[in-house]
Amino acid sequence: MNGRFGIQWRLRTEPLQPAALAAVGAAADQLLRQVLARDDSAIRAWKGVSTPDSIVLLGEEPTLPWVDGVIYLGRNPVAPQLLLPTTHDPGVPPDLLERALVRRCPFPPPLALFAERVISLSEAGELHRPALLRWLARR
Amino acid sequence: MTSSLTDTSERLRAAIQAATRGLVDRDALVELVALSAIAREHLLVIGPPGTAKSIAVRRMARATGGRYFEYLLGRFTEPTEIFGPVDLRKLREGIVETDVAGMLPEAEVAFLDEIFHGSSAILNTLLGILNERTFRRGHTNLKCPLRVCVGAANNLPSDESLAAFADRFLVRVFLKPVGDPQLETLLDNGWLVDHADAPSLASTADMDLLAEAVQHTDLAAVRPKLAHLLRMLRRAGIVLSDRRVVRTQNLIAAAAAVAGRSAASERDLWPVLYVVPTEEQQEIAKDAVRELLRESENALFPAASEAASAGPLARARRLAAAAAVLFREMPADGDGRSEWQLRLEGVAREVDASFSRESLPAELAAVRERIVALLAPSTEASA
Repeated sequence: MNGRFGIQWRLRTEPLQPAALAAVGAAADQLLRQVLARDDSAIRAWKGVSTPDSIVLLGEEPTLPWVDGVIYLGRNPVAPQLLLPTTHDPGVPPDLLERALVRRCPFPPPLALFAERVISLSEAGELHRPALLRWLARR
Repeated sequence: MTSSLTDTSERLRAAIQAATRGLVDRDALVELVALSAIAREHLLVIGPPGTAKSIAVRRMARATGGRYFEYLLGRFTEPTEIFGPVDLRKLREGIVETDVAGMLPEAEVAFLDEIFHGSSAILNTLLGILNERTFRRGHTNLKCPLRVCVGAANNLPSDESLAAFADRFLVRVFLKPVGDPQLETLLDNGWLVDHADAPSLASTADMDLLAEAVQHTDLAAVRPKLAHLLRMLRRAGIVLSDRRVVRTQNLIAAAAAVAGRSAASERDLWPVLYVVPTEEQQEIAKDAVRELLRESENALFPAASEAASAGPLARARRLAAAAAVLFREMPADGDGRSEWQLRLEGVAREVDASFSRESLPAELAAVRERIVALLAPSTEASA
């Protein structure tokens, strides 16, 4: 469901609107602790996917949590199948990158790109407290 | 910037913040009313009914002191309802004078809702007040203290004579109902806003001092940049009337004056966007001159300057201002603490979603550091 992917990034003149956030390592642990502190209805409002060391949460912008070190992701209208860092554009045209990734990537779109990772969000599902606790316990 | 001008700007900042408290997505409107009042220009706000137009203007008027007049115009509104009745004592002496006590000719801030519904008698008299700050009717000839008249309507008029009248309103603001993501905030805040008044934190003397500073602002350096910007707008198909072009300088000078700059620079060009007369043209203009407005910002008018320029400096100013308000409002542990924390997280989210570490302006970096420190204990506690 995920892989490593190194590309050049350049700063955007105007940030994308956040539609998700990604956290890696210690920031992911901290994020999950903060998510677990919310009540169940708030948790169910988000969808998410995880890898052994990272987590991606999807939700409406005003509901997205904040933890120091997370990366906010948004959709560039020209490449809607990708979630990209809100502050950066890929060094290549995003629509071409989207086409290339969707064609060659072994994981189905939509795809989140951050911190040299590419993660498929196709199986993003509702968050459940027990699953989150298990993930945290494994860390 | 002299210390008295600095103090004045600080009081105006507090007044604007008090006026916007509880309003959702109306910060730019309140700021532009203040900017227009300082520049002695008039503002037209276009938007559907029930979009907090009148409350935003009323709160700004109260927060900055001065006499306020508000009226909803209809097709059958009589001039006497706006300007005052004929003075009957004088009429017995054969003199037709208007008793203007408490009416528009005495107001410093006026809000006229559904302004284009006014009869030609009302609009003609109003023209004199808007253009020359003079009220003339019968034997009455009065100087008016009007700083700003805010006209409101659901749509811009298509009728040519009304369009000419509308051209007297230099600043144009287009409002939409609050967006989906902010509906909860609107519901939370709506009741409070309806039942709270903005305290008077600035005074008419403050507004006079800033208006005086506008007169002394040096525009020589910014004029070539403004001319270049106007040419770019023309290339995009947006031609402003000569009157609007000339008067735009008042707004630029006002933006510079409140920012403490005795000479206007490219940082003060952002008000040009609000002089563009239609909503569609404002959108086109934003794209056409985006690069030229990148350096635009204003600490006192963060929402309006950011909406115009979409530049990082303006955004940083707005976020720093939002954080400063929350720092001041920090509650003790217990009641309201978790809600305050969520609002602070909201600012942190916007900072991190807008700026990478390498692009974070120094002022905002310091603010972010403080937010991280303030939120750290609670995140630990929730672990």
